[in-house]
Amino acid sequence: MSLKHEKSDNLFSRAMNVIPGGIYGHVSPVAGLPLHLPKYVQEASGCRFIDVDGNEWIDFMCGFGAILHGYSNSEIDDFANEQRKKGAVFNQPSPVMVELAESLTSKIDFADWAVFAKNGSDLTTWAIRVAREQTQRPFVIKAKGAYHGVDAWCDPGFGGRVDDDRSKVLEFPWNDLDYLKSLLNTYSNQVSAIILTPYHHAAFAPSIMPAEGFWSQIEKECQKNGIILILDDVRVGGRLHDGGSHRYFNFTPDLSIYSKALGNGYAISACTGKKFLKNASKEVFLTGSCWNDAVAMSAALKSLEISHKDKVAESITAKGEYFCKGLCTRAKKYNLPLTMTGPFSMPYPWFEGDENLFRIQKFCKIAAGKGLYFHPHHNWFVSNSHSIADLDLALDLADEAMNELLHLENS
Amino acid sequence: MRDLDNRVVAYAAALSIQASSEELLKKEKVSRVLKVKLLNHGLVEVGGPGLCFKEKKLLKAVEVGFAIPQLLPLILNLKNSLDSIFILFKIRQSFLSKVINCEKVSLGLRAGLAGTAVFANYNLNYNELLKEHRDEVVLFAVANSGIEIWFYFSSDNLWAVDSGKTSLNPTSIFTFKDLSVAYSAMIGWFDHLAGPAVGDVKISGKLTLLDKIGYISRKVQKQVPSML
Repeated sequence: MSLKHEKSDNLFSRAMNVIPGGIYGHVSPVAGLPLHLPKYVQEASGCRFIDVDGNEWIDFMCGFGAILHGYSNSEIDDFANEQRKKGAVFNQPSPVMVELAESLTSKIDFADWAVFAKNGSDLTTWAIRVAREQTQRPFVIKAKGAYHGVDAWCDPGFGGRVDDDRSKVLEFPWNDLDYLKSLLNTYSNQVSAIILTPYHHAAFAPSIMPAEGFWSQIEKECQKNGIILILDDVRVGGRLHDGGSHRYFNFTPDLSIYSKALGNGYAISACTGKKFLKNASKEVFLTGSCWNDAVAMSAALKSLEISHKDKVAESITAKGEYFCKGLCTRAKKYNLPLTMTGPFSMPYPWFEGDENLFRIQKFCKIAAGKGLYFHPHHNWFVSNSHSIADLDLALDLADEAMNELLHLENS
Repeated sequence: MRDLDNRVVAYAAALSIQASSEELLKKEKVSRVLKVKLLNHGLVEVGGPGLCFKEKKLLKAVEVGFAIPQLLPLILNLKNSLDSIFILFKIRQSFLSKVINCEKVSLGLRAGLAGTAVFANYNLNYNELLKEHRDEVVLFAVANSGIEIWFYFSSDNLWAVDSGKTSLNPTSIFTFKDLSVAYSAMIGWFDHLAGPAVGDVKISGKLTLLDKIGYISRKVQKQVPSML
């Protein structure tokens, strides 16, 4: 199937004149399949979107995780629109801010308070400052290769930094508790926080789940050393457990940050925390021009309600399992050693022996020609709007893509 | 790692010259490689005993095509010095050719990447940035031209650049659409974000090292003079 791309190309040409790089960040074409995935989207509904050239795609990226209940979810959009009629940003917060904080603190078992911003980065950075304020210690520990946002202490880029930006950030390989303990010994009484994602979901590499006992050991070390445990649940939050990913892995952080799925596409992030950090949180200034946006808060409120009511985390896990197992079965038919790493609801595809990613890139490129939006270097996402029929269609198209991949490799 | 941070610009310029001569030797345009060597007192020897520049003069020679070398070693090794000057002249001639041809592009890419390798080896920040990629190999190619330049970590424990057929296996491949696009990259006109999206380059494989080399090479381009 040949996809049209003229309008997309024209838009990109215009963009190059007025936007650095045309498109930047994680959605920059350079990060995926620059010539095979669409550059601009016209509209989206459920698990499908239509690009500006009219090509329809079955989506497995869900706005890079921002969409949990499907694009243009009418229940959420209608609720948000009711608020939109009244206004979005005012001099003061609207009542929905209090309602959202109450909703979060009731659903997240350890949370006694919540604050809001627009992006995950806003609050991962703020959270480590809260930890520093509380402990009066400078260092922060993170997992090597983990993404925590766009700020200079953690961003995956290279430009615009000074040495000091990362001089107080220490790293350990995911799951390597001995290494972590050695850091804690070396920097005894100097570490304010350990910030981690629920599992390791680095780009360009298979996802790694926490090893047996990993989280309990992390908790233990944090308690023993007076360190604040920060859970960066920005990407995963809502996808493993509607009460936060810590429930899925059975541990308790001191602070946790949510964003992507929280507003189902409306820009919002939240940080929740334990009571003992409430005073420290008051000392670290927090604000943003539109951070009191009542429309996004309404969307989040409804999104949380749906997640709870429809048991969405369980539902997408089951759908993801169906999809992942179906994909692996089809791959096996062609003797393609495909493994879907990470949780079923946000799998990262990995061909054994394809450490340099040439094969997955070819597969995703062929799949793109069939209208499947598969990313070659980033974990995929299953939303609750993917029906079994959608997944079956995607599996059939993926089957065709695998067949073509084999022909291509053998030709 | 030797700390050459304060001499890294001059060394990058010098090694770019050496890489250019290696490339021209492969094309049988010169008789030997201009081996470069950093000497004490801020001097750089080019092509063996004789031709020797102060670092600033070397940078000037690269940029404007002429600078006065140290006279005493030149006089004492006149024959070798003149031969080295002749090779330098040939390199410059290739760079200044008005036609964007394979020779000019292969020379420019090889020279640019050689300079990048120097920064990767001797600038502490860049060395650290590439540390985790030492088992990776990037192939830079120009479609339908036969140009292939390899960037890899050598058995000498240094980042190195080679060209043509090698026994290396690329972990990522960066292919310019044609000679003009490659040339635009050499002179700093290439948009690294937009290029792959408009088909000016194709990228494949494990992209992280490629991304980092791209970043370092853009820094090098700003700091190190070139003959282009």
